[in-house]
Amino acid sequence: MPGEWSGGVTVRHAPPPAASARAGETLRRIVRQSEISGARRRVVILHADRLPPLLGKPHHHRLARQALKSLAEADRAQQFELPYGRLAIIWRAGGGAELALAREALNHLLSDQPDGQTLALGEVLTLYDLPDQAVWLLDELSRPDEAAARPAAGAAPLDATLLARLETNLAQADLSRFVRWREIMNLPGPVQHARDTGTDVTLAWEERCFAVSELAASLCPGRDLRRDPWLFRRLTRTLDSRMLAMLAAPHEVGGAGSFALNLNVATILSPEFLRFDEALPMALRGGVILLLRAADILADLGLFAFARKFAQARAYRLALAAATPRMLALFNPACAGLSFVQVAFGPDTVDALPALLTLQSTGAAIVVTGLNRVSKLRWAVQAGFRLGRGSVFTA
Amino acid sequence: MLMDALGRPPAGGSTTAVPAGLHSLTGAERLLWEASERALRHPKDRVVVVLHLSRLAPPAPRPHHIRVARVLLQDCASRHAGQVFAMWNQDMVLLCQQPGRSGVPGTGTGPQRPEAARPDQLPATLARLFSADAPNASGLVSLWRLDQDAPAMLAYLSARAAGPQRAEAVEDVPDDLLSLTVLQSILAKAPLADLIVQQTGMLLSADRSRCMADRLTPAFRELQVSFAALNLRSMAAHATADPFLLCHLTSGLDGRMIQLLAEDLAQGGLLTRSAVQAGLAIHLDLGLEAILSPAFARLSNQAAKAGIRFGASVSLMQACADLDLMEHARRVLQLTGGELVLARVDPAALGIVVPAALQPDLLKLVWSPTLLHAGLHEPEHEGLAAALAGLDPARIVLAEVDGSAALAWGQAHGIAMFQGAFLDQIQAATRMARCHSAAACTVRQCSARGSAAGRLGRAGCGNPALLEQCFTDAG
Repeated sequence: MPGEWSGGVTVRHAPPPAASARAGETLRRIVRQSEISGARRRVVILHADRLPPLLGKPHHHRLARQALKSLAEADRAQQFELPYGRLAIIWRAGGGAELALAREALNHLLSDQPDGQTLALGEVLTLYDLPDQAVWLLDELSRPDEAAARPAAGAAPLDATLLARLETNLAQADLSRFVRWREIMNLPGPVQHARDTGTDVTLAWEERCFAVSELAASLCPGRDLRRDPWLFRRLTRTLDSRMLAMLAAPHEVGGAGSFALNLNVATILSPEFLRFDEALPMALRGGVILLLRAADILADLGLFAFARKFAQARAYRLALAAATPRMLALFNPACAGLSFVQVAFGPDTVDALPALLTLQSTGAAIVVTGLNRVSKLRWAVQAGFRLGRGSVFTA
Repeated sequence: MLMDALGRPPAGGSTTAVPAGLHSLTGAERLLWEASERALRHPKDRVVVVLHLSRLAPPAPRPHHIRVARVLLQDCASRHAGQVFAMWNQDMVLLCQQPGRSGVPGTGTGPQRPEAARPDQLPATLARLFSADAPNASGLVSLWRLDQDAPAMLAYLSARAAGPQRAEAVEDVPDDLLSLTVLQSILAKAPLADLIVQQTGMLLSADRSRCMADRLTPAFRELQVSFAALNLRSMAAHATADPFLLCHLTSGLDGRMIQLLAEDLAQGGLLTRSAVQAGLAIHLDLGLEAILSPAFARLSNQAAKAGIRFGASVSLMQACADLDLMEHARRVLQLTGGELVLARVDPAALGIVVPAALQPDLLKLVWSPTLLHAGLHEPEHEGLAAALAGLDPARIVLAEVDGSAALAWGQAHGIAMFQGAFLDQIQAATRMARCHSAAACTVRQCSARGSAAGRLGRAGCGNPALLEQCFTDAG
């Protein structure tokens, strides 16, 4: 796997296949359970991303992970691949000997640093005792979210030359660790909700997407991929191809439930999508939702009309991604033949409630996103929305 | 009579005469003929579905049309002991078995696809799929049962034998990013005036007693990057094929276009002289970021002092890409007295978009023959008809007008402002009637020279003084 610099684009060593993009959320759940039940556990996080450049080569990453092997094999230990190449291991309290072995091995690795650039072991390996230090661990786990991974203001935009190199590297890199699953939940009706406080939500489908900001921070640090919206749209086409190639693998969607994909309109008519379509199990026909952007739809309406009819003929459902009330005043998703609309929760969403409910009654079901607090969830339920997405469901 | 290779009549008893010339077929046509010959010996339950992609109006069939059609036909073929043939003229032919009414496929054992699993369902599916690309989509697909329709099949093959046996492959336009960077560096060195074109929007009076040229009065002048100029300088076949890369390319020229206009205005140049002398508004095709730039604000001030009406053209796609930025740009234009022009509005967009939400001063509706169907009560056009009824005709410019049918349609809908090659040619013809050097030129050449903003594009004109009049008095 490439790990070398090539003109500003670097592809880091990929994690093992067991890596799961949902790792952070699963680990967070375990930590919360420990906090509630008082069950004693210990967690170490290996911050491979903090290794100095001289120790940042792929084989150094391998050695650092190898150092934790004894812990990973401890009784009932679980391993989680986290964003930024971090590795977390959680095990039942005890395991002192294995921990000591891991520390010794990592110290040995760090001793290779040149003089004057020493990095303390504690900066690379952090230990948390649960439930006492659950708050700190949860804080650490919530750090590398999408917002945090966004480049600093004033970061240089992507240019065509860099994009060309990036696309070449993307064609070879293992992107599985950048895949994220977001759960879209069926919300209970308002009457039902009045009796029950919101524990009766059920999974409607999962949205699979790339954590683009994390991917950008890893592959071309210091660059703002979104600053040139047009080159960014082009990049998303390449990412579409990679996502579809991953999903076309037999084991990827074999036992999966309904899921949604963010795609460009042109992608639906691409050879990659046709291969994905061919590989899609019959059980999932009708269960795949394709999320499209309004600007992309309007870029070539002939292409969209054809893609929409083809998608419908193959039993895909279409949705409008990242809509706002302002967008919905301009663009009518029901007339465009879209079945769902994702609308982010915000003050303007509250103001536009009547219009949103009218839209919902015309056939385009609304998915309220950004539900990160119970109060927002309650508002969405009481307003009459049936679908929601947000961290409130994983908390 | 159709005979087999040994000169015997077919077992199925067909007595269809074989048209001459079929033996000269080659390639897929030849294979289709051979397969048909075998099928006609036992024609019962054998069907042919022909998707006449060659009947689509250019630039169709596009590569995705062919890809998707092949998948649908192949899907059916794999379930019904069939075979798909791609003709030289881009038509696609499926020869397969027709299952019984129970719907049990001929040979396929796999689960049924959601649609088009049966050949008799394919015409409806394909017609629906291509309805946006072909106004008469039902004529795009033929379904022939070989026991009844063998003559039609043979006539089709005969037509293939008479037609071209070679055609250019329809493939995706390569959008090589490295070619884009090369093009960008070429554009950076080229004089900007040679990269942009100007087009005059005209008011058409309703007085039909006068000739067309006399009924036209200049209303505004639009300046935009010339796609032809970009393609001419590009290493790739079509630099402007990808709408996103095109936006990236043109937004890189926005700053220079504003600077060019500012210099032209300061020096009393050709591009802005008409705005001063003939009172025409000037519309600049710009990205949202350029409208919000300090340079555009300076240009707006400069134009206001010179008494010029200024406007910015923004496409629906650009507006939708960042509606907050769009709203900001609209307010900036409003403050500076500039016009917001919503440009390149495809008629199909009116069925799904409410342009009034963007509060444009002008809307440039792209002419398309589909507008002729806007009054029909078909599902495809219902939204369009309602949207047209909701627009103020006084704020509409019918753009990309290519003939008198467009003008007639526009006038019938209360539209008075028009823009497009047809009007450019009327202006060119009017110029040529007064030109002493016109004998050496065509209307198309004169029209192209009249649109050129730079000297390079006007080269070859034998009467440059007259040509310059089209800049100064919009003649």
